[in-house]
Amino acid sequence: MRESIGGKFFVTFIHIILILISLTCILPFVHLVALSVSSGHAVDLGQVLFWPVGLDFTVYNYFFENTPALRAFTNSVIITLGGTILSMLATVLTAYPLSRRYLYARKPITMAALFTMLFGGGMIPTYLVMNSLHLINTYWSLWLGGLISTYNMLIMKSYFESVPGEVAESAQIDGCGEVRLLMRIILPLSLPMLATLTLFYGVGYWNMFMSVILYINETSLQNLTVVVQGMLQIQGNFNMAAMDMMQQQEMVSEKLKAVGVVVMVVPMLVVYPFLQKYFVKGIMLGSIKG
Amino acid sequence: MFGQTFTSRMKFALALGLSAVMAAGVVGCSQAETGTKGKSERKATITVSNYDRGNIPAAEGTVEENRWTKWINERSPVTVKFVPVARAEAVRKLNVMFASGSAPDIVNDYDTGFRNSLYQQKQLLPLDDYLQYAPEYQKLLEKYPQLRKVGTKPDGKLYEIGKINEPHLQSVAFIRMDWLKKLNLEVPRTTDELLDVLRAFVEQDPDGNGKKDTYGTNMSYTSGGMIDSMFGSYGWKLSDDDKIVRTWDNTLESLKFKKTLFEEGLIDKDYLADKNGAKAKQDYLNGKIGVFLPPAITNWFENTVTDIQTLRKVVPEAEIAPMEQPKSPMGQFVHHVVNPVQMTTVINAAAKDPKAAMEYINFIIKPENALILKKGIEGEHWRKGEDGFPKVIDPEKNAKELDWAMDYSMFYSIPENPLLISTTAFDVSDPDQKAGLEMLNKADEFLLNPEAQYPALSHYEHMPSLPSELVVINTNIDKEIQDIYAKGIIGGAQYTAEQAIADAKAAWEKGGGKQIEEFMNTWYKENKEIAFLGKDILELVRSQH
Amino acid sequence: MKITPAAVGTDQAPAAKEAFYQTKRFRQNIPLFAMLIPGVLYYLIFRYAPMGGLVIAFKDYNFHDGIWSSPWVGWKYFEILFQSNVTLQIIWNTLNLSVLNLVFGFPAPIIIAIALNEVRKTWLKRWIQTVIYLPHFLSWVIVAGIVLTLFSIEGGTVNKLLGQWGGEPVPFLYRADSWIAIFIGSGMWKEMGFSAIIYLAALSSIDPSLYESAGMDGAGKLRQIWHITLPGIRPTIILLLILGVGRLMEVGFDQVYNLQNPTVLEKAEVISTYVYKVGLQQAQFSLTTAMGLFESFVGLVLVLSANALARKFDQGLF
Repeated sequence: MRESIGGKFFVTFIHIILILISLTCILPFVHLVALSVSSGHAVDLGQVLFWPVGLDFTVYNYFFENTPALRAFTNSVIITLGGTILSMLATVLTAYPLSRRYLYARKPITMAALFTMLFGGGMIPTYLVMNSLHLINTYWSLWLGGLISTYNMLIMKSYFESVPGEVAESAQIDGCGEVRLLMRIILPLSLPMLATLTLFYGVGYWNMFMSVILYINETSLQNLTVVVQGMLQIQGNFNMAAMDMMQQQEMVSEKLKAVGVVVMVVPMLVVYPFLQKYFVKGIMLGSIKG
Repeated sequence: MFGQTFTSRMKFALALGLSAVMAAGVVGCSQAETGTKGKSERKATITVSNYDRGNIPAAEGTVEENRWTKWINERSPVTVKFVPVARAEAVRKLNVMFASGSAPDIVNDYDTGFRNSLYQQKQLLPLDDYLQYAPEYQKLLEKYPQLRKVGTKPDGKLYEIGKINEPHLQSVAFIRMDWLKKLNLEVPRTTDELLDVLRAFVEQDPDGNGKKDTYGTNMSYTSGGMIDSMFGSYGWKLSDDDKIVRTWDNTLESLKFKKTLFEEGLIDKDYLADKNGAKAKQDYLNGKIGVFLPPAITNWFENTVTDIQTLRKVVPEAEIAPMEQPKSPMGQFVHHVVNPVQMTTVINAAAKDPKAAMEYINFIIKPENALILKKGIEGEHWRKGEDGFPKVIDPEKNAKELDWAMDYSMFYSIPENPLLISTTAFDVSDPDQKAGLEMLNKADEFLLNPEAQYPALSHYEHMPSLPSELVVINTNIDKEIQDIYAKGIIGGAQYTAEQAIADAKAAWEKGGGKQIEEFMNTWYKENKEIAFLGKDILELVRSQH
Repeated sequence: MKITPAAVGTDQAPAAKEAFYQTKRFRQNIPLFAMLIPGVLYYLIFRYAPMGGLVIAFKDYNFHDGIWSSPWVGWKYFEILFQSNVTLQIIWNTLNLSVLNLVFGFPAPIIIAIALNEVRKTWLKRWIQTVIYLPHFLSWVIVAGIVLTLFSIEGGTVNKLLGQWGGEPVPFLYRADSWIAIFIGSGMWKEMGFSAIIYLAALSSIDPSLYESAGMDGAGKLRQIWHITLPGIRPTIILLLILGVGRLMEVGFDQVYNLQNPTVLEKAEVISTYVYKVGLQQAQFSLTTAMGLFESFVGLVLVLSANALARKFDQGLF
């Protein structure tokens, strides 16, 4: 491709800016990892910046052996996988009809969904509904309670709408039913957004905290966020510590904090490339059309 | 609702009728324990909330089921099902449980405001008629009438079970003795002397590195409250004519002091942004702070042993001592203390079997049972040292098997069992730990100064809960006043402390503060007998020493 | 091949034609409504049913009486809330911060996405994109710590640099204007990478042949972005903008709470932190519900206005 000098300059400029921004984004994590493997004294004294001082991995040992983290990790995976699949299904099934112009009552239904983004019943009424449906202490309370994010659903709907009308229409002339139209034409064309929303739901379920606190009673069903957040909030709260007056274990809270963040993020980083390929490269719409 | 009340009344009547027969059996519980194997199917079942701190190793089980819940259920006269409640979100979780009628029978929570709200919403069971099933607690009530005073609600009935805590300070100033020595200074006795010492700590290069990089003290996060307590500036105090009044004069003096600290650079200029005090602590550990005011001391061992070891890694010659509150123009005050009478436990009004609940509480607070739940099994987790106190055999093992189990006995009064007192954590054969213990003892002695007053109307856990319209007024005024005070400190010469107090008073008047004053005084008048105020706190903790 | 009325033929009566379309539309609608069943059930059960609980804004809610039997108090809680200027100031602060957030924060991910789109080396693009998505996973406590290291008066990186150039230290965190800038900036930094993903996905649906032909016509990068890229993602931008306007009454609690300090409270106290402080001493269910209801109404008005505006440009959401 030919590019003018101005264009080249422009592209170089963009590269520099982006690389600078990404450096600011990665440094905090380098710092956290360095903290987590440095010696307690060095961390207390604030000597650790981006390179570990006095290697010490005991906090990882503590994290995985003296806490329910491993069990909670498995639970997190179950919650995330189950929730993301159910949510994606429900979101696509809701967004698709709403994206069709010939749907009856399309606008009222869309508005009714949008309305719930602004008005919510609040913590206690929602809990009462869950309770009356006997969903408390099951993962269904998490999955059904957050089945559709209206935000995601509207984005999906808008993306479906952007699939060129001719493609859909020509398919319908070929005698395609709605289900086949969705499965064969619309979804394959929407892979980038499907991947994006899968990621959004996945991250949402992975980080799910308050719902688990409220709806899950059994410790053995808790997820990693609750375990990690729980530890961090207790560590950071003097008020609470003053009330509790526990003989707290000697554990450098900064280190534990760092481990918590690292352990929560790593799985997100591992999964990311698999979804990323869909929205970074995109699909060649033209090729399907032609 | 009516049905439940009715049945519980029935049970209560029945219980009363049987109480004479039962009394013998209950008192002789320790014998009953061994002989109850056959009765195990007839055990009543209750539910009990227990904090979940996310620190139970997966291999040990869960909050609901582990070696200690098994231990409890094997021996307790009732079958207990534990309901885990995440520590950090305990109130929220318990609220939804109460709202849906699924709250446990016994609710353990430290939050006074929360327990008060349960009382106001008629969710709590008055315990007076059931105390007979917990003779251990009855004994405690007789020994410490304060427990009854604090646990009694405005309707005159006893609702809360609580504990007596060890009489230690909530926080104490730590001063660099080596700096004092180097600069030929004395430990300051008054707030003016303190200012001079702090100035010297900043100006005269006490760490000898040739740079002016030291701070006198710190007041980020709650450390500012330590300064307030030197001046008795708490917001409320008891006036000479026995009314509850605002502490404007005290606050003015405190504000002037803080303003001086800020303007003369005796503290970190960024104290307002150091929101959890982490920066101040780091400065202290790096040997940059002369008088360290910890936001709160939750673990004396950490503050008097571990921290000092860390500090000595940087400054080997560092010497630290706790410092008594300097006398201020407003008088001599002691430090805040750990709440000596702390309420922890209430019983759900909807509990099906309050008798069983009380029996459970009785079981846990028996000294021999509490000892096991706090220290573990003798010979396995601890053995008696030469001084007669329990010594941990293997800290690693205890961290895995025991240390997370403290909440099962959270309503136990530790001073009741000399084997449990926290000073046993210090190993006096180790010089560092011996010094640490001496610091703790010295800090405790500060409480005994007979001239010193308590720096607050009461410990905040004993302050009354405001009704909702006053909560809003209070929050609004508090926000404005905080603005004003912050400006008063950092606002420079144009905005004096006097001006700040005048503005704060005006904001208080304008925002409806008078209504809060009225409420406080009505509360005081009506609850004089059960109010647990500063002098009561001092009286109790002094008697404990 | 397109079906136009002309192609169907003009001899049929309009009514019959209408009926034909109606039947066809009806038949098409059956599978669509079948698909909608789970969504509708979800919204009815988990979204609309709990909304009944909003009545507690007009009641003295307590556990003993429950939602339905608690005594009515009318507008009491709204009066408590709106009796003081503080509330008005807080609402104003909230709007102030969130409008600025929208003005500066909203375009940021779009710019990032478009910039990333210009990165031709796939490995670099992927790497940058992965990395800038990371801050989303940092809690605000940690970000507040970073802000303090950068902007504190003594020892803050920025002030150290200023000092080296002979400048006086600036109290960035304690002046309302610079605090707001830091507030907005930190929010942008934390979320722009994550939010950019949506736009990246939207960008991927643009036909690459458009760029090729534009390049052949000699259009520069900026012109291509203006004439091809932006129009390509316009529906997404407008949708997110309308939803963003609806959220103007919300400023995330954690962000403000962790960044604010007493000197900037005058500008930095917002609804969420205020409600938190009110609820600190005791849960105030009715009061917080009343505040929430008010927020919702303002949000509704804002969304409807934004949508009405968007409709003028034929981009309305509904």
